[in-house]
Amino acid sequence: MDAKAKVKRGELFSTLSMPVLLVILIVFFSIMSPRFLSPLNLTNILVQNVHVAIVAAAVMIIMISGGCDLSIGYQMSVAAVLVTKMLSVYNVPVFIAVIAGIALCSLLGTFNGIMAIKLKSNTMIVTLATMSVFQGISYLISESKTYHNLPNSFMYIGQGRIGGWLPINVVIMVVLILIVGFVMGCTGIGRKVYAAGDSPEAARLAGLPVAKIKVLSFTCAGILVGIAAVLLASRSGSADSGTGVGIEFTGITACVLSGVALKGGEGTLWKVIVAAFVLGVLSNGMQLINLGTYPQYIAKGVIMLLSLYLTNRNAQGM
Amino acid sequence: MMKRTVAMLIAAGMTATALFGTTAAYAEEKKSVGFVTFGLGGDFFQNLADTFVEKMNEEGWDAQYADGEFNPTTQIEAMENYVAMGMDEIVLWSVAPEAMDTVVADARKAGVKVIAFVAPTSEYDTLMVADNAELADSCAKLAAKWIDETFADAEDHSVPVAVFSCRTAETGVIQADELLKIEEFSDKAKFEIEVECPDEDLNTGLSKMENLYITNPDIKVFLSAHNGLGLGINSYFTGISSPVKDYSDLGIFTINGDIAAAEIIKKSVDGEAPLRGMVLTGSVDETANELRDAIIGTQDGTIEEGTVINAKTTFVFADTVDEYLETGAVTTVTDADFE
Amino acid sequence: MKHITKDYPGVKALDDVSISFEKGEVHALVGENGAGKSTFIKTISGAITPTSGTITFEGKEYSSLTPHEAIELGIAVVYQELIQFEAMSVADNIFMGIDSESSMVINKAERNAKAREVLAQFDSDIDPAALVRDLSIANRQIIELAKAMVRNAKVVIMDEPTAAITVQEQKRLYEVVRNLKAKEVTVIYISHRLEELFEICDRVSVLRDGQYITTVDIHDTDRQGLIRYMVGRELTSTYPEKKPAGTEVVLEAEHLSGNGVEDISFKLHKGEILGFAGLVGAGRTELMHLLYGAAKKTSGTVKINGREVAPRNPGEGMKAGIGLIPEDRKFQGCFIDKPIFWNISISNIMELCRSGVIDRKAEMKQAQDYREKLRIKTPDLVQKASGLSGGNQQKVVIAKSLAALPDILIFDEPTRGIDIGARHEIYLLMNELAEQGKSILMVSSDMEELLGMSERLIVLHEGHKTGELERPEFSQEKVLTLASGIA
Repeated sequence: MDAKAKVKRGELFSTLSMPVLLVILIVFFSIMSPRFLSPLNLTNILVQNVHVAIVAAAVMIIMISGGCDLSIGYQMSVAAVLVTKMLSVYNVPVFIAVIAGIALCSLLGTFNGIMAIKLKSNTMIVTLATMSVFQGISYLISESKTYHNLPNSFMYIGQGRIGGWLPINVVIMVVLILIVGFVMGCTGIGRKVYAAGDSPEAARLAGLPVAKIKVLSFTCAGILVGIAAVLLASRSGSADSGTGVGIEFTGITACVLSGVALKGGEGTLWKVIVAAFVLGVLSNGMQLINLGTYPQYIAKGVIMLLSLYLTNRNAQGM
Repeated sequence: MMKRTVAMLIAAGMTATALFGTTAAYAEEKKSVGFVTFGLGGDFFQNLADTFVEKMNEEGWDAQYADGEFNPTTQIEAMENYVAMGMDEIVLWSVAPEAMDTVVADARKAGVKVIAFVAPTSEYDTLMVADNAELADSCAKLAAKWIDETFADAEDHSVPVAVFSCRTAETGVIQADELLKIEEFSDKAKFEIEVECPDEDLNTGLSKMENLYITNPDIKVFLSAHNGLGLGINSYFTGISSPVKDYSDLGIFTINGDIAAAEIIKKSVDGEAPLRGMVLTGSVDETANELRDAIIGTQDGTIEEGTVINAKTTFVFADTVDEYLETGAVTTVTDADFE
Repeated sequence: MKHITKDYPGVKALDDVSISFEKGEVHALVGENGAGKSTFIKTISGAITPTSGTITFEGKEYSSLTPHEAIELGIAVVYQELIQFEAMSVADNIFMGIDSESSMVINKAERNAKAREVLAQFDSDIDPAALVRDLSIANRQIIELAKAMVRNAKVVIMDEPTAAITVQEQKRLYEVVRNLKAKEVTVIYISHRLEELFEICDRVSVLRDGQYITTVDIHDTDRQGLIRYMVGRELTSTYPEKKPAGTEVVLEAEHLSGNGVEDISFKLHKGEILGFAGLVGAGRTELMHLLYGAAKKTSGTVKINGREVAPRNPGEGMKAGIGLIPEDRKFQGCFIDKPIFWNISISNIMELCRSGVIDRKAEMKQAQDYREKLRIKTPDLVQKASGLSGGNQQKVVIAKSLAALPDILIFDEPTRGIDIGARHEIYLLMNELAEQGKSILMVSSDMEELLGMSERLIVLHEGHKTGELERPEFSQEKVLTLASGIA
């Protein structure tokens, strides 16, 4: 009984490690910088991490299904240059361009999933290859140019405020997170994704279409990445082939810090989102207290090690 | 079935690549030159490589470029390939000059002329450099001119200036250190804060600017050695939810901006954007011209071995932006105007 | 070994256990799962440090051993899950870490020759240059033993060596053990298969719930006696009585081929338990996977209730009314890191949904129902499956299959790795299910279980059906002859 209580406490501790870390960081930075807690800064933190949080959610879906996607950055890049080029060069209506960008991204995701299944390879290696393919596609579309001069209605998605204060992209992020959280946590489909990632063979013998589930996970992640790309491009007011590149590592970092299992089948969305904001608050706070780049790298690494310690304390204690 | 299709696609792709490779190969009687680029990511790099090939072809040369991939190893391989292909000349924009010494020496031994571009290798036939520190000085001077004109009535050293730096590469460090000396160039400027950025892309610039506005909303002038950061700062102010709508007392100045930056500078003339000026290591067109002259000169001996050619600086701001956008070069304003 | 105690937080894994092992004896260690056998041998091998107690080895007393010390002393362990360098050669594995080689550079030929010499002692003709990962489990065990020999081991601990090898290989292994014994090596032998102990062991020690029960001479006891020591009570009848099956045919396979089996025909009656016997690799599991749709058939037909079915995947197999309890509980049956209720509902999760959203109440109710019906012993249903005993895990897997409401159930190795006490529970359940009208196909490598539970037996050998036995004809010899393909 005693041991059980200990395990329970350990579990609770690892569940709460990310929120606790977030609170610690917020308290620390608000002491160090009086402006940290100003509404404008809090809005900044939200707005700056909208695309990170959405990408982290996408990465989580893929990781739960037992995969990993290194090509997300270039998927974003492809979607971003496609949308902005359609808008600025061909004057395509905003609605159509946005849908086209998201649709293309979902196709790229599906392509990743199908390749992983057909080539029977580790998704990390497959997406390492497709990353290069997508990079090429992105440069083919962008011709190495930066696209700006975007219509105001497009910019409104990433920069507009409802009632003059509530950022639209934050609203979109919250809605997406609620949807993903609901689907993964409360629906039969979500349950199947967890099963397919947790033990593909057990899932197959339990009658689940594992291959289909895995491909669909990549497709859904692609849609999220597409939306993130649109939000990022409209926030920046421009895009080039470098847009979004490298974001997958922030997403994977957020997932791993929050305890999403690399082997698949485990992960909780709200924890992932909190972890994404731990990284976001860290980067924002360090600038507010005017820490140089090099100390920032060290501080970031230390915080990551600390959070790994907190998250896995339970497991290590066994 | 699927597997076979994939295999065929891959095979087709490889054949196509091979074919392109051979068509690009040089013909016997023509002089040939290969350009080992720094890397091809970004507007400027790709444009320069394309324009270079165009200009050399116009001169009747066979020219091609290789993607340096920002990687010394790739560059060494590209050098070796060019030597093996019997190029007459090689232009090398090295990522890590010290790593290239052997391959450069070998190339020269094989009778290939080597032009070191931007980064000086320990030996070369001709060196074309843009001094990074000088370029940053020019940027500071351009900004200083605007500050002193715009804030003519202000007290000395009262106009707050921020520098957005990215100190992850040597060039960035040199240029940032130079930009920090803005008070030496302008009587009115007051250096307020350096914002160190982990990346030099637009989104980083935008986020860092958002955060800076929390602590230092009063800053008027922003200097950055990086085009992406400059564009990010500009995006912040021109965004829909920007706290500032009147840009008349705001100024952003940057280095080596792309066409997008130039188009924004044009907007600044009408008060629609705060990005007011940039300096370049010559425009793409100019740089390609200088490169062409150097290549031909080195080949026919009019340029002596060991010559150092300093690249000209191009100033793009309110007075010159139309000229720049039309011709791709600026001839009306030079270094001399800022002495 | 004296007064060994090992405490884990909240659990006494070993409680004051003292056993002495003599030179050159084969000493069996038996007990149910969780009795403390593994913990005990780990204290000897140095893998864990006892909380109290001492280990005396050749007159010298130690309070604990490190793995390195244990090896130095000459204690070698052949674990159940063999830990080897799979991508290296046999010779490399045998000599790994031995410094006796004269030069820094490894002389491959010399090493292989030496390895061949060592292996010859075991009458083994394994190629020293072969890669370990290409070898059978039995051969890999021999390599572990060879490794122990090269290190001049005085004590060899074997943890369930016969769990995964064929009958012939077992015979070979017994020879090897006798061989070791002749060389004055002490063998500590851990096994679930009581019958083999009588063949090779001298003495046997029994552990139960972390406590030492007794040590007896093997000749002074019998199977029933050992079981009594192990479970601490009398097990009346190992195999419960079952009402005989009806005559209505529910499943009929005709000339079924594919997935390594060829031309198999049989009939399954309603309420029947039909056993499948055969050696490892005979194609029993493969045949079951064909029926279930987990593998593709190349020819032949399967009829269920007179209607032809051809499931292309397990999902379709389930729809056709077949349920599978896979042989590998931990990797194929259970989602070990997931809660119990989660495991039970995964195969019919869509039926528990209202417009796609899981109805938690219905899900918990279903789990609760099965917990009662199958007598799953757990304080709560949100506990992870990994926290259950093997028998209860198996019940969860059965519940999972039953949730899809199958008419035909395939039990592949239903009691592998399950305690004797808990096995009885599984047998009772199988009988109950059969009596409720489910029809059962049972694959097992446990001969007694097959003979005790089945109403008819089908014997396979290398993918072919070599015999079909009715209950009155059942005998171990008959099955073995058919399974070896001699008949």
